[in-house]
Formats: sequence, C-alpha cells, structure tokens
Amino acid sequence: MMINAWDVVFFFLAGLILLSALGVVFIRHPVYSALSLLANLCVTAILYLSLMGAPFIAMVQIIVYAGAIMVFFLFVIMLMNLSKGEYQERAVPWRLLLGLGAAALFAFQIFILAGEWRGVLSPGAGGFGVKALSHFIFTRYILAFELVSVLIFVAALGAVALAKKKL
Amino acid sequence: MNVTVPMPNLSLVVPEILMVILACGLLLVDLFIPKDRKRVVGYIALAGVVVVGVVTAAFWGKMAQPATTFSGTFVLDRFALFFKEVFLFTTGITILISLKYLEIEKVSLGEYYALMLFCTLGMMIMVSGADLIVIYLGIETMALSVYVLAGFMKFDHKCTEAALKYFLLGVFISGILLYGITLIYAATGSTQLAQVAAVIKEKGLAKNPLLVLAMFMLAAGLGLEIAMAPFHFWAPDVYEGAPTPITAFISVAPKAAAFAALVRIFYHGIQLLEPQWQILLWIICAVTMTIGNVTALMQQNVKRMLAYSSVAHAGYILLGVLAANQVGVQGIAFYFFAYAFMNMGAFGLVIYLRRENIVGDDIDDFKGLAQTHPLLAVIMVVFLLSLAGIPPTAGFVGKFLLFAAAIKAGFYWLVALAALNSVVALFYYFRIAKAMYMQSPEPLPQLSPGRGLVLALVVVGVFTLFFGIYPQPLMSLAKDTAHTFMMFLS
Amino acid sequence: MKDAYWPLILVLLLAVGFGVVAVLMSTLLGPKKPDPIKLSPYECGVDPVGDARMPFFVHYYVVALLFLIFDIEVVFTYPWAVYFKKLGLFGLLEMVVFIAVFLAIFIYVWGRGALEWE
Repeated sequence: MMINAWDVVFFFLAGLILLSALGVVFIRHPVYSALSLLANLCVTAILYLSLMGAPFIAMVQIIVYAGAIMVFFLFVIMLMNLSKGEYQERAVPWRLLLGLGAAALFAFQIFILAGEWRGVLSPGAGGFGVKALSHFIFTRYILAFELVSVLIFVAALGAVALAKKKL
Repeated sequence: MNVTVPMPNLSLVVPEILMVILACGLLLVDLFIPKDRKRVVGYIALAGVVVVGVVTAAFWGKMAQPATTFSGTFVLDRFALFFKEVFLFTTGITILISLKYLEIEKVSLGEYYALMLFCTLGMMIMVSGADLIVIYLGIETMALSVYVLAGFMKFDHKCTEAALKYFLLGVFISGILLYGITLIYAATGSTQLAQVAAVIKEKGLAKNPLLVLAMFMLAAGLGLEIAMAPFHFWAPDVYEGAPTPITAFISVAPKAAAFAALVRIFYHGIQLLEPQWQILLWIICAVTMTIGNVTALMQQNVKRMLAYSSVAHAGYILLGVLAANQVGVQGIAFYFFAYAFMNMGAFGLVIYLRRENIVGDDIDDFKGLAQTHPLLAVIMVVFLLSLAGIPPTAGFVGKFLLFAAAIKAGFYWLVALAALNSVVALFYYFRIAKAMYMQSPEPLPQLSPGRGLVLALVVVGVFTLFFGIYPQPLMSLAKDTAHTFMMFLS
Repeated sequence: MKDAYWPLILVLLLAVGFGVVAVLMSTLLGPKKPDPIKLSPYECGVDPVGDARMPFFVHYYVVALLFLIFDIEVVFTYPWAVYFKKLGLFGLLEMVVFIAVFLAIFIYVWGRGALEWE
C-alpha cells in the first residue's frame, strides 16, 4: 500500500491538535492551559494552510484567534487573579453524563464520516484562496458582511456599557 | 474584467436600514444628552420604533408574493412582516414600561434603548433570513444585546449572575447551532434554505444521518431562546434577575423570533425530514408544557412563576409547529400577538408594584390589591384569564387555533395532554387572583407609576379583551400570513 | 499548489526539533548544583517584594475588546483589497457602509470616554 506523504502530514498535525486540546482540558494551571490552547490554534492554522489550501483562513486564525483572542484569555485569567488553591477541581453536576454525551456525539460523527473522510478532507479541491473567498463575501453574502459590522457594534456597546464604571 | 455584482433590491430592507440608522444615531445623540434627561433618548427610540412599524406595515399590501433579494439570502413575505410587527410592538411597549423603571433602578442610560433597537434589528433579520448564515447573524445580534440587557443592573449581584449564566449557556448553544449549520452545508453543499430543500429532494437525502444530526442541533440552537425543554432551565433565573421590563421583553420577542426562524428552517429548508422532526418536536412539546406547568405550581415569586408559565406557552406553540398546516401557522402568528399583549401586561403589573426597596415580584405583594387598587386588580385578572386561555380573551382564541391545528393534523394525545396542562395552569394563575381578592392588604406605600407604564397597561389590556371578543381583524391578517407562507411550500 | 508549503513544514520541524533537543540536552548534560542564592528570584538586584499576581484592572479588558473589534475590521479589508478592482463601484460602496458603521463605533467609544484611563 502506498503511503501518501500528505496523509503523514495530516496525522502528524491531527495528533498535535488532539494532544494540545487534551492539554487545554486537563492541565490545571490556567495559564498553561491557555498556552496549550494557543498551540492548538496555531497547529489548526497550519492544517488550514497545508492541507486545505486556505491560506487566508489560516492567517486570520493566527491574527485573530492566536493573536487577539488569546490576549483576552490571558487578561481574564489575570483579572480573576486566582492563586493556587482556588482553581482546584470543582464537582460539576452530571459531569459524567455530559462527557458521555459529547463522546457519543463524537463517535456518531466518526461513524458517519468514516466512509468518506478522504472526500471531506481532500486538500481544498483546487484550493480555496483569498479571491474565491472575496467573491463569496462581496457578491453573495453582502448582507451577512454588512451585518457583521452591526454585530460588532453591539459587542462594543455591550462591553462599554458593562465594563465602564462611570458612564 | 469586472465581476457583475447582482444589485440587491434595497427597497425590501428599508425597515432594517432605518433601524440601523436609528440605533446608531441614538447612540451618537445620547452622547450630547445630560445624564438627568436620558428619558428623552427613550422618547426618540419610541418614536423611531413607531416610524419603522408604520414603514413595515406599508409593505403588507405589496407582499402577496414573497420577494427575495441579496442573492436569495433575504426574503420578505407576509410571515416575516407579521413577526416584525410583533417585535416592534413588543419593543415599543417595553420602552414605555422602562422609562420610569430605569430611573428607580438608577441605570438610566442611552445604551439601554440602543441595545433594545439592535436586538429588534437582529430579530427582524432572523425572520427574514433565507440563508442559515444570515439567520445565524441575526440570532447573534439579538442574543448579544439581550445578554447585556439582562445584566444591565451591573451592581446587582442577582442580575449579573443571571446574565452570566444566560451568556455562558447562550454561547455554548450558539456553537452547537453553528455546528449544525456546517453539517447541513456538508450534506447539501449549501446554506440557502431553498437550495438545501432542492438538494435534499433531488438526491433523496431525507434519511441522511448527517442531516438528522443537523436537525437536532438546529432545534437545540433555537430551543434556547424559545426556552423549550431541555434548554429551559436558564429562564427562571434570568427572568428573576433581569430588570423587569427586559424580562417582559425576553419572554415575548426573542421567543417569537426563534419560533419564526425554526418554522422557516423546518418548513422551507428541511421539510422533507418532517417524519424525523415531528417525532423530535412531539417529545419536546409534551415535556416542555408539562415541566413548565408543574414547576410553575411550586413558585412563590411571580417573575419565576411567569417564567415557567412562558416555558409552558412555548410548549403550546410547538403544537402549531408540529401540525405543519395552514391553521398551525395562523395559530402561531395569532398567538404571538396575543401572548405579547398578555405577558407584557402581567409583567407590567409587576413593575407597577415596584417601589423603593420592594421589587414587587413576590406573590404576597399582590395581597389585597382588589381593595387598594380595584382597577389594577381587574386588569391583572384579564391578563391571567388570557394566559390561562379562558374566553373572552385573546389568549383563548390563540390557544383554540393551536389546538384546532394539532387536532386537524391528528395529534389527539398531545392535544389531550395540552388540555390537561391548561387545567393545571389554572391553579397557579388562580393563586395570584386569590392573593388579590381573598386576602387582606398590607399597608402599602403610595404607588407612583410613570405615565408610560399606565399607557402601556391600558393598551395591552384593551387589546387583550378586544381581540378576545372580536378576533376577526387579527385572525384574517394571521390567515393571510399563513396562506402565503404555506403557498411557498407547494 | 500545496507543495509550496513543504519548506514551511520543514522549518516547523526544525524549530520544534531544535527546541526539544536544546532543552533535553541541557537537562541531561548540564551540571546541577542548586543553592538558595541561585534559586532565589532575580529582580534587577533588588530583593523581590510580594506576589507577581497583581489584581488586574477591568479597563484592560475594554481596551482589549476594542482592539479585537478593529482587528476584525482590518481582517475584512484584506479580501476586499485583493478583489476590489473587479468589484467596481458597488464594491467600494459596500466597504464604505461597512467602514461607516465602524466609524460610528469609534465615535461612540471615544465620546463615551472608554478610551480614557479611569
């Protein structure tokens, strides 16, 4: 059986993604957990770039998620300012049930996708470059595009209204 | 070489454009209004809502046929128009009852009204979205505004806690909804409802497991705002903690918007999956109304009781969705107007009882209201009768339509269960009436409602009775709505 | 097309490999002679005072969010910039509306004093 080099790349990246995702969940220290998330986001970006032929999405992933959103995570962790004793495990009710539910959902997906995963993950069917994306955003999805600005206005409004002490 | 961009028909989105301009303009105007005169911002918002309402209503005659624009991602039909009027009406009433309340709570800010307008805009997009991505953006615009509004009294612990819970659950469910949308895209290669429906039909995907999974996720995503089981447990906490006008708003408008989006997606997008979603909704419907009514029996706080009652009403309205016939859509449309009248009214009364240091949301605060304020007690009884679905009120007509639709579609057991539930509901609505009429009053400080609140109460009270006795005008509007909406189907 | 990214993957492997090897080698080969002075935290020669975990100001959060918001605005201008010649006048108008809303956000945020330090 021929081993496709891109399969190797995929399994390598997928393994890293999985590992860092587990790290986010299982590492107790919030800052390390956040760093694990950062690793996860970066590796996902590489996956977009290398296998799915979507360079723009990859860059956005780095700029927005790994850049801006991560700053948020760290700010919030520092805002909470938890000392070591305070982030001990807390019993979440029906934790087991939630975990099982998520696992069942995951298994179901694998089951559905297993037959055709190659079709789903084949490198972008000719790539999905910036121009193709632009074409979609600025012709078909104009309304959605303009709505994004309104949505962001609401976010800014909410943040200012809630976080400012004196208004 | 230039790409030809299909020029959108902007005339169809005039109400939305006006709403954006109004909301943005309101914020900029708000910067120049001194702190003790924020009421003016409320008046401007109210006037704007009225104008948008009139503009929207003007489309009614022209929209006998649905019209799409923006490459088919936006649709305007009578169904969308009808629901937009429900939102605008609710927003207007909410602004009226907020004016004085905000001053008592000392959170009088221009942002409050702007957020409410943005929320209305989000809902208007939701009911007009013909593409899952546009619907999703509408939901997010609405939801973000509602989270902030629910936590608007930021120095009140109960309020912030409720808002945070709502927010966390909301973003989680929103992730699930988005995931469902991606699954639909994976299975059909489109997010546009008409194309999704066409691909399902063409490729015979009605039993595709990916689509069934997606259907579950879409129902879950919209189920949060609908407050249907098992996503109802945020409702009592949020309803109790949020500023009462916002509670009234949340209990009507986002619920109506989520229902409208659900109906559009299920009827126009994945209607070939009807056997599957009927099973799902049957179970949800039965569980939702039972949980809502039984838990409401045990509540001592009126806001919590009304929260569970609104869960139960979501269950009744699901009957109409399940029925999937013209009477069902007519019933849903009519019921939401009726529900807007009676629920806003009931919460309005809770606000009426708000005094310094007393929230006015405990059942004991209603004690002996019939002796101290007989007129107020009578109005409350009208709302309670309507909520319980007893003639001659609008609530009765709405419920009758929903039950009739379900019977027509053959859901006899479910209707029997709903009727049983209505009897249970009588008990807890009666408890408020009993407190008002059969218990002696406690010494009350003088109530000082704003004029806006009185006006709002009179309006919704009159409407509740008027459309109960003479439902014909609203009924025929709802019928036209349902007619064009179902015509699209065949 | 995708073959163009081979060098990138090579650099990634090289970077990860170098990091791992360097850390491993120094732990395995380096001499370990700890003493209290070596282990004490170093703060420009001054004795360390208190905890590094200072309470954090909520205002940072507002600033971060505003940064994020305008970051997203910029992200949307990239695909537009690549394509705008083909989109013609209509494309320009689309962007003008988009930016106009952001301008309104900016005016609001400024007018509200969210950029001022409390």
